[in-house]
Amino acid sequence: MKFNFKKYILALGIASVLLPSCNDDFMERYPLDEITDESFWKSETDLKMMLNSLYPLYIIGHQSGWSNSKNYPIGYTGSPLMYGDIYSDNCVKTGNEFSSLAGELIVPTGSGESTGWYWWNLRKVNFFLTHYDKAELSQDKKNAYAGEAYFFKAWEYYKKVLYFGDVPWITRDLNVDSEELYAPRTPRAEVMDSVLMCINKAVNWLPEKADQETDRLNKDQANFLKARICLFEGTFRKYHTELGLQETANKWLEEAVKASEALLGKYSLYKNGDETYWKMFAVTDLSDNPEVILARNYLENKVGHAAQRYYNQNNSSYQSMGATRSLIDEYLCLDGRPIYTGGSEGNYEKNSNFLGYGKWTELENRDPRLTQTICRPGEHVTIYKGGIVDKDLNGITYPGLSYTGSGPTVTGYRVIKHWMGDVVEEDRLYNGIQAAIEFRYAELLLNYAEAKYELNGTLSQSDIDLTINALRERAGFDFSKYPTAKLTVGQEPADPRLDKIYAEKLDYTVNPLLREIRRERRIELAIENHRYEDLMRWKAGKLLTVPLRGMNFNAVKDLYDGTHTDKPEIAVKVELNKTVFVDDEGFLICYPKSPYQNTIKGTLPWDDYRYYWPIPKEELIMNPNLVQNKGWENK
Amino acid sequence: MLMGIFLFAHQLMAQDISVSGNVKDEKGEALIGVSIQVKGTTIGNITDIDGNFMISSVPANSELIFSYMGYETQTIAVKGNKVINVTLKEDSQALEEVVVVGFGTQKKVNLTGAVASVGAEVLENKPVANIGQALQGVVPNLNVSATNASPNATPSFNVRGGTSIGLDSDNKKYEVKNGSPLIIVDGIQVDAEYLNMMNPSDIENISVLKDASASAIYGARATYGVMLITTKSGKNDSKASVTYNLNLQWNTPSHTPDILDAYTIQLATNKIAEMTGGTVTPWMETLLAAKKKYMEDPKPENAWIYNEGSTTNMTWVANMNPYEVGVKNWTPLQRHNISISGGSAKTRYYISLGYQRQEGMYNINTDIQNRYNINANLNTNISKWLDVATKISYNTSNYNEPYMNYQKGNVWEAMKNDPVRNMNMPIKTGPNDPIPDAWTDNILGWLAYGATQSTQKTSTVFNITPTITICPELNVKAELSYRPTEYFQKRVIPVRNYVVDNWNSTINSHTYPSTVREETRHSDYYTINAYANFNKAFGSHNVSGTAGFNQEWYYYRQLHGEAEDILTNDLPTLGMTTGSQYTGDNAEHWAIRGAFLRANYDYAGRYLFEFSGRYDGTSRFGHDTRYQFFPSFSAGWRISEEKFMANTRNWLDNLKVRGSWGSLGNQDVANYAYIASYGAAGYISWVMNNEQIKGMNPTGIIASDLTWETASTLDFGIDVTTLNGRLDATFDWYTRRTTDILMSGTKLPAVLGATVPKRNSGELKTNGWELSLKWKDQLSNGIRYDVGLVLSDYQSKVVKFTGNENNLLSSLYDGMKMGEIWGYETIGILQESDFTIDENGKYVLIGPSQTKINSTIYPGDVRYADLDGDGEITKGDETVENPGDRKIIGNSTPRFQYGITGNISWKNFDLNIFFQGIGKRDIWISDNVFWGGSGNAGNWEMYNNSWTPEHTDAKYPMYAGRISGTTQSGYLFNAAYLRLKTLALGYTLPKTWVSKAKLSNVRLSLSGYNLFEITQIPNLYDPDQISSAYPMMRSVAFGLQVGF
Repeated sequence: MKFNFKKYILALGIASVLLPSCNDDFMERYPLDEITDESFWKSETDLKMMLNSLYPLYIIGHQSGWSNSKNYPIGYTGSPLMYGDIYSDNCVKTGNEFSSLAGELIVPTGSGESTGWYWWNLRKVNFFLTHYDKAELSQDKKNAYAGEAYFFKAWEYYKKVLYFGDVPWITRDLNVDSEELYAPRTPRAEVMDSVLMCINKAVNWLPEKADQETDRLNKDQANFLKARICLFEGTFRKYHTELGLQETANKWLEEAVKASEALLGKYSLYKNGDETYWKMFAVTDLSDNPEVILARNYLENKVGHAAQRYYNQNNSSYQSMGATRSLIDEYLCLDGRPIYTGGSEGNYEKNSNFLGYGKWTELENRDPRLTQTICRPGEHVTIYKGGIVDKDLNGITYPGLSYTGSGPTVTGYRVIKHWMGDVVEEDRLYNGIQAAIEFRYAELLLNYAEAKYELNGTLSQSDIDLTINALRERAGFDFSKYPTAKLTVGQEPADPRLDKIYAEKLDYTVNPLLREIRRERRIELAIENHRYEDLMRWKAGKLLTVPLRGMNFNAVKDLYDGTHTDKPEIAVKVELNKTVFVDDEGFLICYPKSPYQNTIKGTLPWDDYRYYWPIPKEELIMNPNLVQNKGWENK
Repeated sequence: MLMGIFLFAHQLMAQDISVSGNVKDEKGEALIGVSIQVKGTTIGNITDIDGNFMISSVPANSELIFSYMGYETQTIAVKGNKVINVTLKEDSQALEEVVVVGFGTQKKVNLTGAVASVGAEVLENKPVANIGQALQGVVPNLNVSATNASPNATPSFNVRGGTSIGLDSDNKKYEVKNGSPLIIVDGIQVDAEYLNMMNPSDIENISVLKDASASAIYGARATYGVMLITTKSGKNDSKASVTYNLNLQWNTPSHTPDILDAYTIQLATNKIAEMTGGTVTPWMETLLAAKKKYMEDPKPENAWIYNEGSTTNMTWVANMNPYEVGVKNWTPLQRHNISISGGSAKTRYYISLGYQRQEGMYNINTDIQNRYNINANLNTNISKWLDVATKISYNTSNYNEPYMNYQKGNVWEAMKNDPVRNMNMPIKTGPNDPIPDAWTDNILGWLAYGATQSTQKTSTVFNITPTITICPELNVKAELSYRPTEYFQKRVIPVRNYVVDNWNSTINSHTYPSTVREETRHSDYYTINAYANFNKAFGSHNVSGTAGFNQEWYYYRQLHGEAEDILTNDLPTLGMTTGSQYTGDNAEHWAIRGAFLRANYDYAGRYLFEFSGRYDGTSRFGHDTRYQFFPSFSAGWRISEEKFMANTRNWLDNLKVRGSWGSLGNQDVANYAYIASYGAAGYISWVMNNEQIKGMNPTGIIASDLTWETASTLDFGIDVTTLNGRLDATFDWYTRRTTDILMSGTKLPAVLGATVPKRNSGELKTNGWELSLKWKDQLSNGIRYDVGLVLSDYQSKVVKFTGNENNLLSSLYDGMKMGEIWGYETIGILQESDFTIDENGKYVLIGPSQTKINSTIYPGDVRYADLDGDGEITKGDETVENPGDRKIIGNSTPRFQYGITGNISWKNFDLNIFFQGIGKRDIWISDNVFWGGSGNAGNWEMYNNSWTPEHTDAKYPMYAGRISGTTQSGYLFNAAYLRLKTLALGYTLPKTWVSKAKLSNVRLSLSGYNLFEITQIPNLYDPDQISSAYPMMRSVAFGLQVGF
């Protein structure tokens, strides 16, 4: 017998496969089409890629895509610029008001984006800040990118403080075992000092506009945000005396002034003939607008939104809203004086320019911005048929008034600011490209004026001319025909109506100059999502309790009797005390039949605990170190 | 040392002679392929087609062993005889049956695990398009679910019910998963799609390994069972035999919705308005009249009417039943298969070619699938100690279909959902219409207009398996294989101009700009198995074992491009476009590696023990948790072999009890779950410098200690064979507990700012049993018959589910039974007398308020029981603790699944009958097409039996689709069914006729598949497919088999 070596050699060969070398590399399989930490954080592109994703989180503009995501914690849907003011005394929306506006919010159980106690965006910012220093770049370059992250971090926390007051300050991206998960809330003063540090870093590190790539964040934008934040914090501390921080208010106001001054003269107000003010918001391209400091731009067929699609219907169905009489009444007449110039309630002396509450006659002879914000029926919005906007052909749609059903404004005052009246834009569906102005010079002027006034208790005539009078001039006030239209220190017009409201609702007095500064802000920035924040920082939540009223129904009821439904006039029939309700003077009551018990005859309630929003219950249970905001404990 | 002795013994044999002979069965028919072996050696041969055999060099003093599946083995001493003729007796006991198990075979009687085996006869000559269809109801607790009967659809497999918990197809909600078993074809892992592409005729045998002990040797991929598929190969020393199979088949949808006509839909809409507090407007009356007019005189001029006061805008009022227009009555399928097999003393081969052409059921641009299969197996005995088996298998399919725009949904569903388009619009406008002969928005027009998609899939297997026989007791084997797959898909969407609701102009929504898209995918799958088998008896002690090593690795890459604005529809390619172009790619890879062992010991075939285990590793987990050992044990006791059972032997052939336990890991998780990765840079909705920019997001939070999900299975079984093999029964009971299921971790404070990483935290338990009974006998008049029953059941329960702390009913929760249905208790249909009418003329319900369920309520709606007695019907907190007035009203898990099979053969005829069904199941139908209402085509069954003011004792509430979303006890359907799955009659031509034509065998068959059902499910649906895509099919077929 021969011994078969071949057999054993071959068997050994197979057996050697049985005993694989302990080669672990074979089992290390990293993703082939995704980047891991091993390979990231090296180049400038890496930093940019990570930062790019932060822009849409904070600079929301008109949103994107179908533009129907909600804005939290408030909970309205759509473009904040268009709809933010429905959570204030500027506008009301059809149907039911927010339960939270009606003071019926109960503490939410679980956390989630809708509660506002939402930290995903901050994690993205902190994630960048934890890692960016690894990049192989010069320190200056790295700082320039870190400046962007600090800009967003300041923005994140200033909003968190607006909604919650004290919030935990988190410096890094957390993991499941991070102790910060169970940290208590950091006191407001400490948080805001950190916010100031962040925004200062952004100011110092971000490049000048001229040196920065187009549309990346620049130093001017950081200064603008700084001014906004500092004015917020300075005035908040001044008026919310319960915080005991009024001593430190001036520091913030000084910073606000300083940041504003850095931009004064670098930008100018947009001027473009008739209806400049309206035109400014109804464009797809802002590149030639010298007033714009930060905007969200869109791109045909690539990045768009459905804001116009909805806004056209609005004002018909989507987020139907109408302006309140409270807002309308605050607009001056074209002589720079209010609608009532003297007397007392029930016996006011009318400004001779004021035509009274007729068929939208209250819109005549007023601050030119009024009819560029609120429209007369048929003036801008007509029935839209087959893409044709033609009053003669299709008729005039009168704003719906009834409380129920879709479409109406409730108040009769249809908002026209941001409306483009452009069939092409409407037909772009969710690819609309209307540009959204996020920061504009007008606000900077108003921030500067207010901060300087609050700091000094007065404002120089030159500063008034630089700010308020410049805005009035741009708006189209005719100073030569009506010299009083120009605000002059010491010659502020009397406004017994507004003074009475301030006296009733605020726990401090507002002198005429401050009243005019605040008026100018409300008018110029109406329907741009500023009013809620302003009310909060002025400790003026009680202004929400001014009864919500629409137009005078007596003046228009003949239009709404059901006979005006043919061309060229279309007004839907309403019935008094059935589909519309009016007060003693005939003004429409918004929310007459609110499902919320706290809203009575269109008057919203207010309690001071509502200056802050509640922290979800689950969060308090998971983290025993968290303490609920005062007043919310048992709600 | 031991080996040396064997070799020496071999050398001692006496002088050799050549032996030949013939082997017949008891009826005198020649037996083909009987194995003859010289005892104690590997020398042997196989009988040829005439039953003859010849073996040279047989030691004159040796013994020959004649063995043949299904017949008793005979051992005959040679004693110098040169001619030995043998008659084999049929083995009524079938105890010698051999079953394929992991990396080897075992005698069925010696099995200690739960294994079921299916032979080729189950797959051959059946009017089925793929293997899945043939296996449904055949093996107890092998659950086959076909989502639809599209030529391109792949049935999925599951063994023994609920396996784990995972996210649903939208990645949103957790659900209990019925995971797939590992599928192995000739030692190579494949997926269900590969199985779908295989030629059923090539399969020799399928073993289903159900419990942990049987599948443990496959480790972390076999957690939920194994399907082992062995393909055919040739036989040594046999003449070449050629077999041709032809199958001609015609398919028809098993159920076609009995939708209403256009007039009745409008009539119902008008009635709904009346019954729900609305009014029938003049326009609704106009529509009704117009639809009636069209149905009486269906000319194009009557197909539409102008809207009130408009001279351009119009409304369609035609009537067409898209099912009648668009669906073929009978769809042909043809299959050709030719196989050649045979072998010499040292080499055997099997070659097969298969072709199948299957058409889809729409008669507009019918979809067509062509499938080609080529298989070649070659086994060569190179030397006494070396065998090499090679295999090449090539499967390719080609599917051409009209591309249905995804915004239009699937055709079958669309036809019943949007009557305004799909019934009221003709496919094209009329010749005299303002825009003549143009497409409309009718779904069939979308099928017809010319968007196409073609998909080619190819899967190839190359396999080499050398076997080295070291000595008769020990061999070493390596299976080396490479399996590449190719995929190519091309989609062309030309612009489609169509008329919707006005004559101003056509529109081109969803198709503008035109696009062409091409996608390729490629994968490489490598497998190395190397193992040794040992088998030896020491007196009554039998020892055997298998030990080996397995390594597999996989690469995948995908590339696609899409381009807009096709230049010419004649040659749509990416290059022939003028618009924007988009591209994308992705790639992935993984690897596994493991060492396995199986050791068997039995004492005199009476006490059986088995241990198997596998040390397994996967690239899908991090370094520290990558490897784990998974053991299993099993034991059997053949009571019938005991001395004290001696007096039962005349009727009890075999009685065995067995038990097994094993713990297996599951590596079926995302490829890189333990690695934090950034995802690809993607376009974000942000513009800088007039360009859309890209951005990236931080990595998610990853738990780096992710590890194996583990399933432990305990199984007890009993096997009985009695009455001389006529009755065979197997019963198994099992419990499977899956732990460490990867799922959302426990909630953490929101400041984390990210999804809580997945953790190994969930737990699921499945209990079940399975029974199979088989009776076979031969009557004195020559009729042979057998009857079989398989019956199985399982139930799964969520033991632990993290991430639903409040026990919300919308999610899984601790203690939840798989399939449970929560709903209201129906009291009955509300009548006028159940209401009062308020001052505004509105109906006010007497009794508990139901406004939380329906804000308005009318006679003809349903009353629910106030289970919690709070005077109001509510959803409560929608939690288990406070479900409001809901309770568990049923369960949708299919229970008591069964199959009943019967075979009768008499003379040259054979008949196969196969029933299959489900014993118990509840279904809530949420499809509004059943419940009626506006916006869908509805159906006559519901319409004719619904409540109206004139028909108050109706079976169903008012025909308004008002309860489709309100799950309730009164309208829960019993989804149990009994279905005649197969009925097949065969006739084998007498040998005397056939041999004149020089053929060896001719068989004709007629068969039917899914011929009828007995069920309470409404006739709109197939009981296997309650909500529909491509419907299930009934088939009839003619088959011809010719052997040369």
